[in-house]
Amino acid sequence: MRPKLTLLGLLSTLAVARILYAQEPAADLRLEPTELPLGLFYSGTDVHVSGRMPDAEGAVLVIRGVEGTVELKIKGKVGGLFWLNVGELKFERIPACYYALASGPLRALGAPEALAEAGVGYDALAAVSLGAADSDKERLFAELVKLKEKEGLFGIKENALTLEPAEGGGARFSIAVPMPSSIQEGSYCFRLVAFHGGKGKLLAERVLRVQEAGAAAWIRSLSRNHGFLYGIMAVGTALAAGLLTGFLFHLGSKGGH
Amino acid sequence: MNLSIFLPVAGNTVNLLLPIGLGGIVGFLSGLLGVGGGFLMTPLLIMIGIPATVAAASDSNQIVAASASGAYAHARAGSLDFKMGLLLLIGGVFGGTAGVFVIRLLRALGEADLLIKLTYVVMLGGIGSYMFWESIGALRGRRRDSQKRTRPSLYARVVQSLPLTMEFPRSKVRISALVPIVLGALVGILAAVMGVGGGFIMVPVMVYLLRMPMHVVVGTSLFQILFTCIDVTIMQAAINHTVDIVLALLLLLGSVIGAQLGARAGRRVRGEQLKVIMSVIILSVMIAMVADLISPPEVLVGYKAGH
Repeated sequence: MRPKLTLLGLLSTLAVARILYAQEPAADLRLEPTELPLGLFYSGTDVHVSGRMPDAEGAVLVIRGVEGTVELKIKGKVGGLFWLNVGELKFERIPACYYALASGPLRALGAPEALAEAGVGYDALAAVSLGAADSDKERLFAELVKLKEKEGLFGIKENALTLEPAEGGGARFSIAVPMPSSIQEGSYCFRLVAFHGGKGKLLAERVLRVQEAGAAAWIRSLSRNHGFLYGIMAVGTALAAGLLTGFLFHLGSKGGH
Repeated sequence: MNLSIFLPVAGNTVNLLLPIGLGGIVGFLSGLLGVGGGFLMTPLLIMIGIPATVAAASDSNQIVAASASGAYAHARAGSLDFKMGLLLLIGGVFGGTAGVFVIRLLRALGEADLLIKLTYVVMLGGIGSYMFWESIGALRGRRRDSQKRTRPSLYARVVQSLPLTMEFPRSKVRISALVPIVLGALVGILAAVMGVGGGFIMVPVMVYLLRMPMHVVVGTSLFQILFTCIDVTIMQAAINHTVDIVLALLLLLGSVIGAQLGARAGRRVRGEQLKVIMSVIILSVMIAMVADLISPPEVLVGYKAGH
């Protein structure tokens, strides 16, 4: 009796799944790899992102690093001639990195409000970080974006995601996302947002874990947790290298005479 | 072939050959001229993407190696005055500590940045120009001002009247022990205020105010820089955690060899020629600094130290 019931349950689950699948292909997002070790010889790598989604007018793959506080110095003109630091500013909830890879121009996907609501574009970051409108802070936020773009940690690329018709309906895509060499340890969230009728909808979300490994992790941990010992070690190594080279050169010069 | 390496404290990747090459060039200048080279190396490291705080701290670490290597070479060649170096160092420690309080006072008064940078420009411009014209004059065979003078200057009269007179055979001078201590303290204050090791101020001070021969100046300056940078490296590692030992190792691979070659090259060059090279470098740094002060920055914000 029990095997029969199990078989019946399995068949009905498959039938329901088939009906659902026929109605709307489920969204899927895959990362390869899902964990990234930052060793001494890490020089940046590509994360291959692939997936499928129901038919939509467009989609954006958003990649965000862990949020944190960024403390900045503001540069301004002093005495009408010199460019110097004139103040300090703090921005809260700024992601360590932010990339938006879109299937088309962002303006064509939705209005600025709809994009921001879906977490797409720099306005979305500004909305979270700035809160109430403040023109001076907004101007400086734009400067922060410029700084992060210069470091390769922020970027918006339109027409970067190619959607192709998928077997059984919907669309599929595959893209290599370059993770820069300046990437920090932490969790990086990959989100697939589809746009339909000017509105964005989060379809799927995956996490890439970046973790320091091997000698790099050991060195960083020692420098953070045992700073004095690390300093002595650094000085000892430098002294030994300097004196040894001096000694070897002296021997070399004696041999040469 | 992948020549990239991840710098764990700086948090980014560089091509292995870049810091080794930079270390070699700056180490050569260090061995040749007796400067630590921090005023050249730190901006170069920032240009290749190293955060400013990590660049300055790791550079101090590599200067330990370069100055140890250079000082060893000079000690062997008999061009290091340990006694003079020690007195300058004692003054430098007191001056450096006082300088930390001076900078705190300046910051509390506001616009410290402008004052510091203008001091830098005036100091570099003054020292560099004087050194340049004096050395060019000497190379052309002009007699030195001091030899022309029939009456000693006020500075010379004050120095001669001080107690605790000592003989410094390596430097071929007889002077009060208080002079190097006071001058070391003044350089220490300036170095702390300007945020540099102070080699490029100390060298002209030894040449013009202590009247030491240029070759002994180079070795003695390196000896003093060695101890200053040991202190800075340990403090930066313990308090700010900004020393990247991988970066420092790459830099020192180049700099220790560069320093040896520089010290050897220095023995083949006349003292006045060394002064011309030094003055040209000082004036170039001053011009770069003025350009940086007056040209609009690409981005109007920068990370606060410690980021």
